[in-house]
Amino acid sequence: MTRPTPASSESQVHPLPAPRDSRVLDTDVGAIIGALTLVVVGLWSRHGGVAALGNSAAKTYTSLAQLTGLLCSEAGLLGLILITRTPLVERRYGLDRMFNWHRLLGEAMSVFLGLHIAFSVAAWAIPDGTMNAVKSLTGKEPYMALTTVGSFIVLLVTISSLKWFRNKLSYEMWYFVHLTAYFGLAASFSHQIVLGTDFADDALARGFWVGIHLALVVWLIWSRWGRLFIAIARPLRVAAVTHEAQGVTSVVLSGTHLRKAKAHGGQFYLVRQMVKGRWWQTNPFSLSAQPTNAGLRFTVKSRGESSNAFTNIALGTRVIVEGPYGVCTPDVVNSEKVLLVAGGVGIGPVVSFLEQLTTQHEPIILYRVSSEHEMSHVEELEALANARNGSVHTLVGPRATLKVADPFSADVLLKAVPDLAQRVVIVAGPESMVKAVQRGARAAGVPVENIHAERAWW
Amino acid sequence: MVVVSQKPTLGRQIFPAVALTVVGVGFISLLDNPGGNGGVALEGAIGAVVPSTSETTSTLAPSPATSVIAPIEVSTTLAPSPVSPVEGSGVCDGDVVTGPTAVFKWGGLQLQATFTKKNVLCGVTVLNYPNEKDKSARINQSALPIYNREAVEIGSAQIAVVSGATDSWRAYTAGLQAILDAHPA
Repeated sequence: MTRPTPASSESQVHPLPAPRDSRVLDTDVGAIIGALTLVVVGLWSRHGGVAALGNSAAKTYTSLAQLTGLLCSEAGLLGLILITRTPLVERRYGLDRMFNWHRLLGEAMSVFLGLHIAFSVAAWAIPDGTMNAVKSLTGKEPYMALTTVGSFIVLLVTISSLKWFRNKLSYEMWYFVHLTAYFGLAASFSHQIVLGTDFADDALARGFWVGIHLALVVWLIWSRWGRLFIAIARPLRVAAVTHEAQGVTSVVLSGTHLRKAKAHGGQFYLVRQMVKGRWWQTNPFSLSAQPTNAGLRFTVKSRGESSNAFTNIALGTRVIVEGPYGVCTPDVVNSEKVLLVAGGVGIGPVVSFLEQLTTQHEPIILYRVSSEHEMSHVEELEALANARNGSVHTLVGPRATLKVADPFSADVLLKAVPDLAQRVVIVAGPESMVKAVQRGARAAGVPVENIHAERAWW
Repeated sequence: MVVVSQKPTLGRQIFPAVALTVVGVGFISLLDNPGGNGGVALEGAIGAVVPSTSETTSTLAPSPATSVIAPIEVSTTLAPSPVSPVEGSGVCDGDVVTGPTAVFKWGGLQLQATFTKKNVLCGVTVLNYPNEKDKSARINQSALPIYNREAVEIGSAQIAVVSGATDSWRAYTAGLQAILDAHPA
């Protein structure tokens, strides 16, 4: 067990202050998406899009091609806003949900793109024939060769991100394919301005469209690169590496730059190991102790190349962290009692969360782990729980050897935690376990808004 | 860690949606509306209705006053001829009507229409079109023949807009409609 110790120059260890809350409401997000959709559809309608429907086949297809093209762009814009990782949105919804929405928007964009292409070809095929339409739309018309390449890239990126393909690709492969999306989107922008009648003929609409795209580019550059440069300028160093259990290691990062940092227990960072062959890649790791000015502790399970490398990292290695991210923080608890459920290495975020609770929360911790050798932080956990009028229950063993079919069914949970319905439930662990706990807790009468899950990052 | 979450007021929840909707609707109403007339003013009276001759229908193009620079220069690189008139399948042996000049953002556009004995529109000639700028000339030289052809095909001013030539389309349809109004079928 390693607790971060203060750097010699620091007189006292104190927890890092909490990151500022986001004031963004669901209704704000709805208003922005609604207004953007209103403008996009309104622009299309104002330019005669609705009037053209059912007018003649060619006009109908042209009009539909315009509408689907505009919606395709809108989905793309919203998807890009999400990956700016703007704290305004992140502090409210969490990075994992933002990435999830980003994926859904990417899929929606590709569907609109497919429809846009189909309608465009159909519209041009009516006077010119299909072959000529395809020729025009892939090269003859201005900027269409570029746009064709861009569209292929966008479709390729989407396909490579579908779960089925994603699981077959290495992270590196997927990552580099995904990076080309920026080029794909940029390549198809010019045809909107030159060929899209909505923008070619209307200076005000064009100004608006170019304006929001430019604003997004500036935002993206600032948000992604600006923040990265700040992170690079404030590197941390590996201060301790401790073997905790079979395949489970704790790594403490410290440095003077932590003086300015803000973070909560339960959050995670994107960690970049500055060693040969790894510097370009980040991994999400959860805090496993309350973050202090003395250091950030991460508990990591070796599961892949990167996490293996991190568990064997040399002392003193430079590490760049971006974050903190994640909304499953002690903020979600007011004065209610708390149930914390940890699965495997999900114990990390649970420990850091627990540390910020007090006696009034009377925390109960359920720790599910498939083998005794993989249990970590047990003494620490018990000490923290006892100090807070709480208790720890462990459930060890492979699933098949358990006495009950579902260890997280409402019955089993209620037996262990009779006042479950009055508690806020925090769960961190593998996705299947998180789902099982959510199901069981709801069946036991816990309101949905009192169940908070953090995908365990390690 | 006791954070009493404050419930946002109703006003705070509704305000952004209302404000953004108002801005959005305001913005849309400022956009070009091809359905409206878009600042086209008709100047000059409808020309004399004269019986058609082969000479009048074959008149090609911009009147001397406005054709000083562009048509010659541009036609060498872009189009073999300026805007050519279009005649329908019927014999244009009826009236020839010179329309008013439709004045719009880029200049004036004047049309001359020919009809058959049965008063069916059978040909349109562009007398003047904006060509002071190369870009205007280029746009009009490619779009106006299309408008001519379509007008004659359907026999009315309800023609489709060519992308990139919306302003010309407005002036064209306004001018042609004025002729058709003055010369009921």
